[in-house]
Amino acid sequence: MNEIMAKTLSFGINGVNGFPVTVEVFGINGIPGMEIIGLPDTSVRESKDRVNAAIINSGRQMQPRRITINLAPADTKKEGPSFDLPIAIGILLASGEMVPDPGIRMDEIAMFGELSLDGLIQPISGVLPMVISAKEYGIRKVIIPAGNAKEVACIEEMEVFPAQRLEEVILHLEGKKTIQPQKTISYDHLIRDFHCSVNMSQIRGQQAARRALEVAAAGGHNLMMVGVPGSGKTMLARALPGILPPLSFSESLETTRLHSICGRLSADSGLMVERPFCAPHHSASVASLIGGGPDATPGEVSLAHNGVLFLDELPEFSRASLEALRQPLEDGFVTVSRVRRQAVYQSSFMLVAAMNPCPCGYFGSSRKNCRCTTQEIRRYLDRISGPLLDRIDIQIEVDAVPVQEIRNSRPAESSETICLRVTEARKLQLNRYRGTSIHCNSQLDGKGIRQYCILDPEAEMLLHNAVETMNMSMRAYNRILKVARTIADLEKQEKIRVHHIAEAIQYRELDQKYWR
Amino acid sequence: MGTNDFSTELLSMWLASTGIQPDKMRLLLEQFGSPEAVAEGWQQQREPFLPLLNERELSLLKRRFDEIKNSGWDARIRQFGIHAVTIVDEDYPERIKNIPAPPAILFYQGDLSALTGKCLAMVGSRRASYAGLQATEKIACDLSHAGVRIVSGFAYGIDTSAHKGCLNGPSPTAAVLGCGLNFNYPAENADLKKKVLDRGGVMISEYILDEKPLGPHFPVRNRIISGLSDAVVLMEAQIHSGSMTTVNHAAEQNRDVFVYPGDPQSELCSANHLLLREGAIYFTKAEDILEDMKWLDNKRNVGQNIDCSTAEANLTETEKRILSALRPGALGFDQLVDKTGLDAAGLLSHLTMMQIKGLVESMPGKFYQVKQ
Repeated sequence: MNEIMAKTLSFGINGVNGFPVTVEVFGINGIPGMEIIGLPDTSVRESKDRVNAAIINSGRQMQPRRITINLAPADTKKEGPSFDLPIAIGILLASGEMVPDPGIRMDEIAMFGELSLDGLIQPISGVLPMVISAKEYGIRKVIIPAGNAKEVACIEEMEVFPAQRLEEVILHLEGKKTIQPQKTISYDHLIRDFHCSVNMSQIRGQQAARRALEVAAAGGHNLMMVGVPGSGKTMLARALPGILPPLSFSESLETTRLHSICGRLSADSGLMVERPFCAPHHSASVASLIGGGPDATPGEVSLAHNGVLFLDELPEFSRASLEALRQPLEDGFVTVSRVRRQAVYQSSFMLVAAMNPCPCGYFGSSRKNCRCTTQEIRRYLDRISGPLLDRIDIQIEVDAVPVQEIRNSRPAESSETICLRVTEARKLQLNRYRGTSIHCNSQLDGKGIRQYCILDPEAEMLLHNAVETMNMSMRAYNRILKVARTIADLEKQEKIRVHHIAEAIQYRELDQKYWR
Repeated sequence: MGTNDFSTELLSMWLASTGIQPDKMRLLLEQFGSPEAVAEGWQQQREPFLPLLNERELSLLKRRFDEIKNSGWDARIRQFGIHAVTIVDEDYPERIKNIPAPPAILFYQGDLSALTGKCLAMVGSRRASYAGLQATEKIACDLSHAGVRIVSGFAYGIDTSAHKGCLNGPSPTAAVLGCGLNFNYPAENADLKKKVLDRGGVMISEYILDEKPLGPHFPVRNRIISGLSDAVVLMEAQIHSGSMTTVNHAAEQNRDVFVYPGDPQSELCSANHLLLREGAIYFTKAEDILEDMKWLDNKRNVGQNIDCSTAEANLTETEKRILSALRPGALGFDQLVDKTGLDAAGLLSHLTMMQIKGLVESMPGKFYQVKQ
C-alpha cells in the first residue's frame, strides 16, 4: 500500500479558550518532503524540522515519503510550537513505525508539547486553558510536557500524563511502559501553604495609609497615594494583595489561565494562589496595558485580573494609556480587537495609583523644600483627567517615616489579622448584594447608593456640613457614601453613623488640597 | 441725538476711549467740571476746546462718539455694574491725585469707599513658591485684622493670595485690573471676584469695556496699585518682573517699600534681596509694617482671641487632647497617633469633625496644625 493516513488530537488557543485541532497526517510515495497546511504560523511550519530530528533521536525511522499534515479546522490560525508532539506521533502512526496498544483510542487522548531536536519535550504556554477546554469537550486524557504538570495539577476528573521525552510517549501509547499520571493536588492544600510576599507587619508607621489600605481592600475601592519620593508608596501597594480575601478556586483558574496564555508561569508554579500584582512602568503603551499585538494577547489589566494593578508615577503615563483604563475599570473586562483576532479578556482588578505631589516631588515635605511653582504643580496634576479620578474612591497622602520612628515603633498588625476583618466585610457585602450583579461596595451606582447607603440623621447633617464648608463636589459626595458604607461594614453595622462619614471624608482630602 | 441722553458712565467711557493724555483730560475736566459738561461743551464747540485739543483729537472725539452712540454699551455698563469716577469728583481716591500723571477717569465695580482708610499694596510674581504664597496669605490676613485694606493686581500667584488673605480677615480689598472690567481675567479667579465684591471690595480699571488684557497695560496699571496705597509691600519677585515696575512707581510716588526677605537661594526672590541691599524696609510679619507705618494701636487682635476661647468650650475630651498635642506645632499623622493614643480610624474621624469646626487644618504631606 502506498498511501498512509493517521489522526491525532490536540488543542489550539483563541483568546482564553482552547479549541480542538485534529492533526491529520497523509503520506504518499514521491519526492520525500513534508508540508504543513491549515493556516500554520511560522513556528508551526518549522515544526517539521524539529519533528524529523526528534523522531530519529528517539530511535525510530523517518520513511522517505511525501507527507502532508493538515491541522483541522483549516480556517482557524494555528500558532506556537505545541503541535510538535501530535505531529510526531501522527507521522509515526501513519508510517507504521508505532502501533498503538489496542486499548488506547487516539481520538480520546489530547497531546501538546514542543519537541527539541534531541527528543526532549519542552514546556509551552497556555497549557491550563487547553486542558480546561479539553475537559469541556469531553476528553479525559491528556499528554503534556512535564514542565507544565503543576499548572494543571488541581484539575479534577482528568488523567494528566506528564512526559519528559518523545520516547516515553511512544512507549506509553504502545502500551509497553505507562507514564505515571499526575497526582491531583487539592486547591485547599495549595492555599493553606501560602504566605504573601510583603506582610503588613513589615510596614512601620504609616497608620493612615494602613487604615486606608484596609478600607480599600474591604470594599474593593480603587486607591490613590500621593507622597514624596521614598515614603513607601510602592511597599504599601505590594502589601495590598496580602490583605485581600484569599483567591477562590474559580478566581485562581481565571487568573492562572490568563498568565498561562502569556507564558508568565514558571515551570514549578502550579495554580496561582497569590493575587497577582502588576506594576507596569510608566512608559507602557496602550497595547501593553490593555492587550493587543497581532495576536490580541492580554495586557497588564488582564494579568492583574483578581489582583492589583499598581501604576507608579501616574501623571507620567501617557494620556492615551490612562484613558484606555476607563473601560476595564468600569466593566471588568476588555475587548481587544485586531484585524485577524478578537478576544475578550477578564480584567477586574483593584487600581492602586501612586504619584508625587509635584514635579520635584517634595511639595509639603517636612524634610526638603519644594522648588515648584503653583503653575508647574497645576500642570502636573492636570495630566490626570477627571473621569479617571472619578473612578478612584480613596485618596490618601503618605509622608516619609522618620528613621527614629522606624526603630521605635511598636510591631504592627500582620496581614493575616487584617485579612480576616476584610474577608468578614466582603462576606457581608456578598450577602447584601445577593441576586444583583454587584459584588462589593465600590461597584455601587447612584441608585445603589441611595438604596444601600442609609445614613442616620446625625451623619446626614455632618455630610451636608462638610460638603459646604469643605467645598466638595457632587462626585466626592457619592464616593464618601460608598467608602462610609465599607467602613460601616468593617464594624458590621447596617446603618452608616457619624464617625463612618467623618472618616470617609478624610479619604477625599486631596480633592481640596490638590484638585481644587 | 444730544449728549444729555447718555449716562455719566457712558460719557466717561467715550472720553477714556479717545486716548487723550491724562494731563490734558484732567485740564478738560477741571475746566468743565464733569463728563456731561465736557460733552456739552464739545457739541457746542465752546471756547476751551479749540486751543486745548488739536485737530486729530477733535476728530477722534467725533469718531468715537459715533461709534459709542449705537454700540449698546449703556446696557452692558449697567449689566456689569460699572461706575465711573473722574479726578474732579469728590469720591475720587485722595491718595492717587498726588502721583505723577494720575488717571483722569477710573472705572470700578463695587464700593469705592474700600479705598479710604489705611491701604497697602501687596505685590509679587505670578510665579511664586508655596512658602511665599502661604506667607502672603498670612500677612495679608493679619493686616486685614488690623484694619488695613490690601490693594493688589488680581493676577495669579502672590496677588491672588494677597486678596484671599485680606478677605480671610474683616477688611475689604481692592483689585486693579489691566483690562476692561467686563473680562473675567484671570479666568480662574471668577469666584474670587465675586467674593471681593460681596465683601465690600472694589475692582478698578482705567480701561474701557472690551479692552483686552494686553502686555503693555500691566506696567501702566501698576502705577495705580502703588498710587492707591500708603506703602508698597513686595512679597516675592524676580529682578525682571512686573512687580519691579510697581516698586519703581512707588519710589516716584514717594511711597515706602517693604520687602519680605524670602529664600535667599531661590531665583524667585532675587528682586527681594537686591531691594533689601539698596535700603528697602525689611519686615517679617504684619506687626513690623504696622509699627513702621505708625498704625499700631491697642485695640487690634482683640476680636481674634475671643473667637478661639468660645469655640474651645464646646470641645469633647478627645478633641481637647488632639488640640493640645497640636499646640506646639504641626504634626504628622503618625506622630499624632502616638501622642493621642487613638487608633487611625478614630483619629481620622475626629480630625474631620475638628476641620469642619474650623479648629484644625490639614496641610500637604498629611500634616495637621491648629488653624490660625
